[in-house]
Amino acid sequence: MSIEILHQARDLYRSIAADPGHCPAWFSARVDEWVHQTSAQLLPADGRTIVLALGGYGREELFPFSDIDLLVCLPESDPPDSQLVAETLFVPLWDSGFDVGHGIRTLSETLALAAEDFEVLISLLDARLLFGPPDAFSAFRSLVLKRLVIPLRGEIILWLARRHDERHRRFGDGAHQLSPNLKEGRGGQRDLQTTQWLEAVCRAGGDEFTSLSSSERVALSQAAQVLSAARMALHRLGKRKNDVLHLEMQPEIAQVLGYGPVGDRDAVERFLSVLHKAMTEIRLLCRLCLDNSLRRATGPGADTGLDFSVLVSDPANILELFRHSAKSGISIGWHTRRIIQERFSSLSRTSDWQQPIVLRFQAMLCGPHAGQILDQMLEVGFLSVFLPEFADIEHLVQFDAYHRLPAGPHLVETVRNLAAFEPGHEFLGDYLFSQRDDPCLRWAALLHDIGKGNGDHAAKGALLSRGILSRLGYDDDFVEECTFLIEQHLLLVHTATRFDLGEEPVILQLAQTLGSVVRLDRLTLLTWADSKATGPKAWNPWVENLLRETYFKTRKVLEHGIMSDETQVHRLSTLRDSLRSKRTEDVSIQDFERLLSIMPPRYLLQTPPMRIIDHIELVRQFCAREDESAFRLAWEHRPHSRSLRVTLVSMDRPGLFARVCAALDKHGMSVLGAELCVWDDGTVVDVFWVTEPLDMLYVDQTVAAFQGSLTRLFDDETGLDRLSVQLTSKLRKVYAVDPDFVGIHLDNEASDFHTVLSIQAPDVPGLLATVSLCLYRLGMDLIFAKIATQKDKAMDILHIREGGEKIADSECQSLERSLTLLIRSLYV
Amino acid sequence: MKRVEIITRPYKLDEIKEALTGIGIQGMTVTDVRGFGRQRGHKEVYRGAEYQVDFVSKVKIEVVIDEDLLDQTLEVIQTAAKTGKIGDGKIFISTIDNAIRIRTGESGGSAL
Repeated sequence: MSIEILHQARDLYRSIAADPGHCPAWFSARVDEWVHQTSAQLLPADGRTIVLALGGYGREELFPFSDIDLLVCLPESDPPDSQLVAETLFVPLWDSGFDVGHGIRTLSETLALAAEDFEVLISLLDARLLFGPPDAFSAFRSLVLKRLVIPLRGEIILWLARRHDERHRRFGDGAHQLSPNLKEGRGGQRDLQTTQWLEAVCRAGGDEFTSLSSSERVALSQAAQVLSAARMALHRLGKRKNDVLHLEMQPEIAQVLGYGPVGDRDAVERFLSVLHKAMTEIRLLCRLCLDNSLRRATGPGADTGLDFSVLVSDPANILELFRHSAKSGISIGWHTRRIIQERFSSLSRTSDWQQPIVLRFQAMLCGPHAGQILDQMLEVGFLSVFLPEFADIEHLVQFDAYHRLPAGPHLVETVRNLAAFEPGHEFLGDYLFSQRDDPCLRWAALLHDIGKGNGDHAAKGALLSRGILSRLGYDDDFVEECTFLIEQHLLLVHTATRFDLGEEPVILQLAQTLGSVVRLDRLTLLTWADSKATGPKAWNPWVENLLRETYFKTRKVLEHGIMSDETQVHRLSTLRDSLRSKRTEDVSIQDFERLLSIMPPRYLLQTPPMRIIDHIELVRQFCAREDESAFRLAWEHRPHSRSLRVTLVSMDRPGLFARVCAALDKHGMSVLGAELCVWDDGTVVDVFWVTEPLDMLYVDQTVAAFQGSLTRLFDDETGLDRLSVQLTSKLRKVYAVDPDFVGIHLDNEASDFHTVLSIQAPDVPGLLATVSLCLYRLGMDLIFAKIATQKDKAMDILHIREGGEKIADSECQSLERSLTLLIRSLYV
Repeated sequence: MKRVEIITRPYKLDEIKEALTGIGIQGMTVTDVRGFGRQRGHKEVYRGAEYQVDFVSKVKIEVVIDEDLLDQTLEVIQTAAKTGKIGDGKIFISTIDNAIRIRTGESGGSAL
């Protein structure tokens, strides 16, 4: 065979459209043919020189971009010309673009090198004869085994274990899990080869290799096929020597390997789940072989973990074993793990989990070593037996650059994060630590993604968890709390990143959903643990910032605001039901629900229900108006208090309150009280209690005139200026009032959303209009106000903002001074 | 060609994305950023203790477009991002000398 024909075979082998028959063994055979023919032309036929395939080539596992490792083993005396050998055998391969591992040595040189460098020795374990007499090769192999492998067996095993551990440390972080290295990574082909080398080393000493049972060998073989297919596709698609399954290549490889979507799971996720399962199998079985080999090689004193094989006939003992392991921090030995697995195969889904066992499991779940124990439970397969729903999601991979772990390990990692949360943790440690070991929270952490792969996984997970916890014997309250946490485990991040945290209704809605500080603390801790387990894109300073703000604002509302009173919270929900029962036919159900949803909680709690119904009717009339009027008005005479109640509905706009106050003052109606409210869609519903006009005989005309003035003021800025000047000059009356009896205070701590302005002053006509005009001129927005007059004293509370934010602390003092001076000037 | 860089509130991302795809801009780069401008962070007060938040979380969206599309792009961005409150953010416009599509080697406007 010429080198050109070998090229063609290589190109065919590397093509993505290659026939299934063009497998590693097929290509190895093509290379064999060339090497044999070339060696036959080059080397003497005296039977003393042998040409060997080593490494992957020796195992007939040449992947499309694998190295070709060759060793020419020369006779000790009168060897052929090494340079000629190299030029004839290696150079054509190099020139053709193959990566060639090469060696030309005598047998003694080979043995000396292998004794010093176990990399060389290991490669000799895979040696395969390409050219030369079989008995020469047998003699070579026999010397390698007798002089090196058998006497150095213990050291070889220790070396393999060290390399294994180093490799797993190097390839253990998140990036590698998202883009696994199919050769060097955890559960990759190096782990597979390690089991084969361990077997070779064991058999060299004449021992039976009993590390793997026959079913484990079958499982390992199947896993190896999955891995091999993936690596093959990776080489062919990448068209280069690369063993890292990069994220962007994963969908195409899934397609090439014939995976298709099934239900919610798309092709790439199905492929990655299968691959993850295969690599996990390889990783665990490799570890099993290593531990067994280490124990045999180094004797009974080897640190191979807890061995309680004789005790694990009883589920209770099995859990006791996990508990001891948790307490001591020592892993369970692989021999014992295998017996546990054999024991579990006889347990059914519904049985055997009596209350004492559930409580023992819970104790471990809530303990400081929960993560380590769950890892072992997951590896041994205990979790999938104790919680069969776990088996469905254990290897489930989400294809995005977000989730670094499959679902099963992710849930374990979430619990691990909780267990490691310390009181002084930088993320709200002082506030959240008290909930760290709460059983509800720990169960929620373990089960929060149990519904993955089924659409809305939070809702599905809550449903599944309800079944699981009820089955395990938990009471209704516990189940309710746990399933709430699961169903809402995305709520905080969703709110923090998708809504304006500067808007009070957003925080109020969140507070209403949570209902208590305890739930807020638990959900925040769960969110942190879950996000951290997901990966660096889910938990980072950017997200932490938003979550911290959400937490503090919600906590304040729950502790000090409307939501701090549980009876009020309950009242809100019953209030809405009561209002629904009072709905008139003029308002459709859809419109009614929309209006209920945009009414601020403060308004609902403080406004009598029938008045809310009247407001709804007024809002309906305003929305349905055919003229271009900017507001709708309703008024009612209240003879017993000698006042009018005037209700105004409009759309929020700057200076609205100032205009209304000015127009009322113009027509001799002083504001005794007011409740101002802006609904979430900008609808203003303002209620004023005003003094009766001087002549009640003409009240209708007075109100109509007021309406006319207000209409003109809505669009006439200069009119507002003139009116304010008139008011100011009109107000210059002498009042025998102590001007120091004016209290103006701006509070930035009472609310996270508004600055609260409180005014206490002797009530005079125009006071409110003057203040509101001043605020309007300063560009302040009025969000909410409660105006009251007690005897002759005005007691006004106004919630204001500037530019959508609270007034800066640095400006509050100067504003207080300005308003004080302005109001004092009314009395002089 | 122009690069348009928008720094704005995180929750406005979806709206801005929809607005841009609505006028035919398909490619954009999104980064989570933190910063302060006039907002100067803000002060949380809880139980009398102050928690100074020095940096505010924002989102940065970058698009590179044909110059012809600039006015329309700026208009839809402002419509989508504006709330009228401090913290709405800023838009920065700069000129791009050239662009190349790596896969095909196309350059200039056809690389966009």
